[in-house]
Amino acid sequence: MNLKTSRRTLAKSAAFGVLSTTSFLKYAPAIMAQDSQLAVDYWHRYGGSRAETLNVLAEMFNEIHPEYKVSAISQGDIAESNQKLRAAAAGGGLPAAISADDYDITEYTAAGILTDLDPFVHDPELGFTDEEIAAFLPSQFDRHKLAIYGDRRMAFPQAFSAMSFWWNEDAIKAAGFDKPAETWTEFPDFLRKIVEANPGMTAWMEEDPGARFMSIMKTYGVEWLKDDGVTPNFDAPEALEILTWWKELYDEGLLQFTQSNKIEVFAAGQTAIMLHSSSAGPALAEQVKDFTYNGGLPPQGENTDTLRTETYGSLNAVPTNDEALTKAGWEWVKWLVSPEAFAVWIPASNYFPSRTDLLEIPEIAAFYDADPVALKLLQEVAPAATILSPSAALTEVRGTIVPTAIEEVMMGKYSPEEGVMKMQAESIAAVERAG
Amino acid sequence: MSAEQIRVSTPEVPSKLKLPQISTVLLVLGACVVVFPFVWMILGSFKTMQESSSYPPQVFPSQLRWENYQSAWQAPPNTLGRYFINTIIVAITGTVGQLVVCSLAAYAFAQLKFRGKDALFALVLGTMMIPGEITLIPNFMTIRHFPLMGGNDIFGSGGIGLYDSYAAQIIPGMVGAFNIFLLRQSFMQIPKDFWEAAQIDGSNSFRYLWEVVIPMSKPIMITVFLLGLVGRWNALLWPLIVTRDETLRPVQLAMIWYQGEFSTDQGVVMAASLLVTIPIVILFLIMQRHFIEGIVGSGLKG
Repeated sequence: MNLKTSRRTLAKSAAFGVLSTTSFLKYAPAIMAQDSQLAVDYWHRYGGSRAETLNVLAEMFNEIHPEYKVSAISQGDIAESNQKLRAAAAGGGLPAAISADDYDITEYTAAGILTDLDPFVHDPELGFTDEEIAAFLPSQFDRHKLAIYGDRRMAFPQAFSAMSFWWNEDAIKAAGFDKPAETWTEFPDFLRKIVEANPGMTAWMEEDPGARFMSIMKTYGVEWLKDDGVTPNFDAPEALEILTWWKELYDEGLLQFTQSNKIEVFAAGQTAIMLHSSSAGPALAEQVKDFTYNGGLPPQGENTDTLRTETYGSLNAVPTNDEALTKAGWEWVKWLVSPEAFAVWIPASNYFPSRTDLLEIPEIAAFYDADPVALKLLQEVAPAATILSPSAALTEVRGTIVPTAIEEVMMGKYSPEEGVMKMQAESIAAVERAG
Repeated sequence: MSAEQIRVSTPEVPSKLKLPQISTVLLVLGACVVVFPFVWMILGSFKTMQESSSYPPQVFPSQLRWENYQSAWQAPPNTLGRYFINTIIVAITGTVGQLVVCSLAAYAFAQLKFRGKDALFALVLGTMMIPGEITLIPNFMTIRHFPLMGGNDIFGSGGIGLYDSYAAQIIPGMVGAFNIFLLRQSFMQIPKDFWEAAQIDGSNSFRYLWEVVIPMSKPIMITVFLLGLVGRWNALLWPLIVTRDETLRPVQLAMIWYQGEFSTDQGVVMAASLLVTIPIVILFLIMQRHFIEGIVGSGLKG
């Protein structure tokens, strides 16, 4: 190979590359709001009609606050939006506000990318009045004002949902019940009688055994972490009790674990009961055709003094940014809990409002008038909803450790006693790893 | 019993006649497995929401609901068409750019002699071992801090760089070790005599690459083009990471607009999926002969 020819070739190639790249880059636009406006990006994980509703809310806000230009941007599902935020945290460009799930908020706080909202909440100009604060459900308003954050408030919800108990009214009536089981002690026999009276029906199907097991522990009055906030509680007698009756129901074929969409299975009349989000109502209304259904608070532990269930639904938080963008982010998330925003968001999302003073707003009143089950859930379930004990290890414990142990118990590899011991030992290690 | 006796005693089922039949049956079964999701998608695209979520599943729609296609087209902001345009821009520009860059690199590794060539090639191949998740954030930082673009200064600060642009979606994928490897293997099969003849005719390396090497490597060029195009057509995470404006996002991100939390109209989702899939299937059908030649010529196996 002629050396001069090679060099010429390389030089031409380089020139070609540079020219083609620079000519293309001319078309790279920048993010620009109008000069007088501050661009306020709000990243969320909603799709479909909820994403459209957030666009409507952004337009409403922009009309009231011409100094801002809020863009509600859908960032895919939970995992994708999480990756997007992590990339922005590393490379710059965090949005002014985000919507994220409980365990994301815990992890983002640990990563130091969220702003403490308490100074804004109590700010005389920008914050809430005492009357407004009193209108919030305390369990929701303080959902992420936690000891593990040094008592800082890292997020609060616009609205929320909660684990609810859905049942096939026709099936339980056929079994001679006029209401569902109210305690977990009654629950196994309740299922047995339903299946006896409704041949061919499966009593109960679950998609996510780890999450469900920990939710049921909560309804027994036992959190998955002890009061010290770091020691797992799977050695509590209630955990063993739950796993024991799960194993019995599984062996009898009354409890099945499935990858199918359990709403679809329930709506098709194949299962008698379903533990699912309170906001599943519209999906059930669309899909259930051949029977009557109802919803309420899940069964509780025999000796529970307080009604409990698990809170679901994303929260709003303000990432760490410069002063102007942080303030803008706060103003947006604060406006999202205003009556005018709720009037749009509650009917569109079927979430519970985090405030208790909204039932007289015409749009919200009309929504609950049209859906008595939603109103019942609001009255029964919403006040009982709290989050699982927050921990950076929660994702691993709920997603891997607990479901694996449950599967091994159901398959007969371990006894329920051994299963909860395994959960406990592995969860202790997971909490230690997570710091 | 001898082998001859066996052949004599079973003359009516000679094994040579059975093999093609078994192969045909296996191929038909395999084809059914491959085609089934497409058939399910087509049937599903005409179903109502109730039919889609019925249990046990209902195979055929009660009637053809063409409205699903209309809904699929209109659901995303600015219609699905906007997302198609973006995907076409990103996929074609990116893939053509990839062919240019990778061809030049492959030519250098195949034809030129320079010190450290083998080590450099090993380094390029080594990048194939790095998972995409690891390069995600460094690539994002490069895009965000691209000097002199998007309000950035010469040091890449002060603005957004190439964030939220077509360029951000295209540039990081323009160099691919696997494509360089494929092209290099193909270029190396061209006899040196051609280069010597080209030199006698006064040709330089660039002209030789353009007029001799690339035309002789058409099947592998088409293979690389198709692989690149399909990869870009299906890209989801990277475009999501580097864009914020819906008017710049590709078609895979439009699928967000069909999802409900607990209830999704699967008929509309299937209609949208079919619309998104059809162009790439048609392209493959047109180019499949060259694609297969390219794969066979490169020595790759599935």
